[in-house]
Amino acid sequence: MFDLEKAIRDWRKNLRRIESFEDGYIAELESHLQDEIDRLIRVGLSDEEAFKKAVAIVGTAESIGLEYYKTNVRPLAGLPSWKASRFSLALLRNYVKTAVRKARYQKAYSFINVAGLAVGMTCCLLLLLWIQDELSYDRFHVNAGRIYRAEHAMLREGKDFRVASTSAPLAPALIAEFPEIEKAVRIGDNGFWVVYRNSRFMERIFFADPDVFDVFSFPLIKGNPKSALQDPNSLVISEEMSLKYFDKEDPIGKTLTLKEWKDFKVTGVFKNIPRNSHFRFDFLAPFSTYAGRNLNRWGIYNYYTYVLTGKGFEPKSFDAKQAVFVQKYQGNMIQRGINFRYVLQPLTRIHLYSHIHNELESNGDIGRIMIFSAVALFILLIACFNYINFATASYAARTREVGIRKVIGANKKQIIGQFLGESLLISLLAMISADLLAALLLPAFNTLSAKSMTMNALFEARMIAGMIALMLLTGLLAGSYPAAFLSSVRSAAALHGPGLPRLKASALRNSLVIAQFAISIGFIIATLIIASQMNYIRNTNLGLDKEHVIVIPLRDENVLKQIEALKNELSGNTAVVRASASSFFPGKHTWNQNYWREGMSENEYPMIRWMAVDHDFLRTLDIQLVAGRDFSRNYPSDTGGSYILNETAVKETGLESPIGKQFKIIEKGTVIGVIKDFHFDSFHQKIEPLALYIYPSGFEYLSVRIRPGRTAQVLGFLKQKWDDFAPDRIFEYSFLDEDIDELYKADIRLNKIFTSAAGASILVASLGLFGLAALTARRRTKEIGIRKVLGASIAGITIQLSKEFLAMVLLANLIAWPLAYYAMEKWLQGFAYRTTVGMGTFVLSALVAALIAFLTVSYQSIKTALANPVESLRYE
Amino acid sequence: MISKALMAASTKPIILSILLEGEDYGYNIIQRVKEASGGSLDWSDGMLYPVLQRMEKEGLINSKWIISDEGRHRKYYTITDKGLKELESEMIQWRSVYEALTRLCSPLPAAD
Repeated sequence: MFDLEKAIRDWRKNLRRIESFEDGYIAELESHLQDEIDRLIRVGLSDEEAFKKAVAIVGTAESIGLEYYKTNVRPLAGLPSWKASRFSLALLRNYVKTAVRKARYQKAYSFINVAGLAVGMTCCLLLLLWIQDELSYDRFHVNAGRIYRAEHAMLREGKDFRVASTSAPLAPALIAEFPEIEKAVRIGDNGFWVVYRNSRFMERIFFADPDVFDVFSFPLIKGNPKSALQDPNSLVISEEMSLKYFDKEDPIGKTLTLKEWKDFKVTGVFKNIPRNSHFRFDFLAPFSTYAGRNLNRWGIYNYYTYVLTGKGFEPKSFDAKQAVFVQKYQGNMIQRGINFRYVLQPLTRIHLYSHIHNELESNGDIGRIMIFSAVALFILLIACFNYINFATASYAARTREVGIRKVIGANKKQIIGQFLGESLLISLLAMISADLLAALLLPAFNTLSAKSMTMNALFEARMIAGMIALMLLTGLLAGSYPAAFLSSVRSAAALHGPGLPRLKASALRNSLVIAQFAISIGFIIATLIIASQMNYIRNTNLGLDKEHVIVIPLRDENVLKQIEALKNELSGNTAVVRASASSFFPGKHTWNQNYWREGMSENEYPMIRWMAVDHDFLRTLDIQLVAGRDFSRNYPSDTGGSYILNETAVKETGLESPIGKQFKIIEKGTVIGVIKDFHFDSFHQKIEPLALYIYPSGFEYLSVRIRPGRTAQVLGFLKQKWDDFAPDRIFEYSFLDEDIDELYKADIRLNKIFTSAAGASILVASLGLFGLAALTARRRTKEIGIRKVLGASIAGITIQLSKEFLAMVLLANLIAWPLAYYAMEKWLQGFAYRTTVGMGTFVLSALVAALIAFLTVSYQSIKTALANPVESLRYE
Repeated sequence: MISKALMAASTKPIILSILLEGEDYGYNIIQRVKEASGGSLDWSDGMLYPVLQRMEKEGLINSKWIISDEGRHRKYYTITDKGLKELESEMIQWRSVYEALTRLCSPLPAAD
């Protein structure tokens, strides 16, 4: 039902939008409308029709307002005030002029704003680059979304044990049993000497089924992808290898020899594998040639299986059917009570999310992306806070301008637009500087993030879109509060005179400064704690002497056969203290196997870690014996019949007085000694029960202890001896202490990131504090002049001025401490052996922050305190 | 149709002439203009009131609120002395324009 009264009421309400209409005016218009309606009803129209028609005749608020405006106002902008202003070019010029003028008058603040934002943006830019790189992994394959890696998983001691590799018969079985799997490709790899004419290099050779080119997008430059791997002796090589072996000659049809195996004929050349692939190879040969007898063995999990699924494939459907599959093909597993299953891992997830056993290469980490993101965003936030703080702190200078603009006819929207525009301009300048900075810092960032990104990445479309988004985000983040704040200035108050109304922005300003310092202090604490943990790792006794030990990998049959002879040769040199062959290498290089000890029933088989060692192992690495004796050549039975346990093993195996007790891992033997626990893995891992056993076929490394200060000489000697024993193999070596440091690569990187972050955030926060102090000092010039006249000392004034800021920094500490403590405790929990977080760290970070804040502020304070009061009070 | 400029120029004298016959209110003024011109002077309703307001400000007319028989508030306008003088001078101007035009252009062109 149409309600005429209400319709008229609404129409009237609408008229109120037009500020110039006074009540009487509106009443008059309303009575006019009613007259019109009355007339129309008299003519025979319904209420509703009459109302509509009358409004059409009399007009809406908009059209009536426009008429009113035409008659009464000589407009400046050509538009009535209630209408949103059009974009005016003339005004834009004025805005830019004002912004530039302001920037020129306040060079220091503009610099701080631009520099601060630029630092924050640089961090974000580098991060964006990094994330883009990480996310781009394996997406270059046309079928990326349909490719999965088949992995296997076993439930072991309640833990899911996942392994990236699978056995060779899996691929054909998958195709046979799952119609939704279109193709399956097996990949294996191994190191070989590749010989061509006089050149000979150790290379990692990959082997794959011929379908590899259908499943993955590895385009061939030469050769036919359909037939390139059909022949058992065919070999496809990368562009780079084509150059390396054949220079400019055509490689097709040439023969490369894999030493001690067979000849291969080059049938194709593929484009170098992009860096953002989770596995990369330079040589590809047929899988069946390589796997040989293992092609039908389910129990050898040495290969990788990738499947191409049909469109719309759901991994869940695979999970549902695989129990039947495992039962059919690997029923023996189920009989033995092993909880065994296959997992299909989406190709595009492998790089960021997969950290399982036997990965082809070590992958990235989504957690690290999170940490990086948080750090970069925090620094950007600090920079935005600076902008907000200056804008609100120097509002006095701008309120008059806003007042005048408003009086002339600017509305709130225009003022907001102007100030947002200004912040966007600053953020554009910052963006440009950030681009330059990022380009400059890219090499350093590459080392930090272990990437090799190039400058070109900065100019990719996605990156540019990201930059624009970042610029807008920063501009809006920094500018919206000042814009809202300044646009709400009342013109009458602004123009009133020198006694400006006090705006309550200082509370916000103070909280922003506190937040800035809280973030910076958080970074300082993180840096200190990581450094202290690193120190702890470096200075804690590992249970072995890691200094002056050279480690040589023994990947050569000849050398392994004559290892004792080589050791003898080496000990002839006075610079060599002792050498020992073993399977020992820091990190996860121990074997995990079932053991038996005296007193156990035969079917009880708990696990223990063990290493293959020789007679000289303990003495070479200076590992302490706590009971029994070392392996000795005087006891022939020691080879193969004796075990040495570490203290933890003694505890865990429950052997009381272990010496002389029966023990078995490989052969049954006796325990002859107990060693003090030593760290054979990183500090992230608890020292596990360990057994040492003389087992020459397990030797992998030769550890050579040398006399300090003769490294170069010894290395020359070692290489010469190595070449005597293994002329076909390049002499490789590393230093034990560096190998141990390698275990903490991620931690060291984190330390570097936090050091840089702490530096950047403190820099930006101090810049902000510096500017704020200057503004405060300026505002209080007169007050200080009077204080001085009345006899205040310079020291007193300096303290007076600095005290406020120091209080904020102290408050920031209170906020940062618990948060940083919580976060760092979490990080430290990742270590089995860790430093304790002492109060000292927190106090130190507080002192550092306070000192930086004080130095920043005191420059201004002292300058103000030293000023001659005559200068400041002259004009009063 | 009367051109925009002419309309603007003639509004004031027309309103004053109508009010010469006695007080009146906005709605009625529009009706009478329509009648008198035979429809060729079609003022938009919204345009009248700003003009009335301005004329009042200039002191040419006065206004008062009267409650009509139906209980409706209406604003009635009356002409002031100043308004009378203004109308007189306007009429002189219009007449001289009219006479000049007729003298210059007679006989009048046939309207097509």
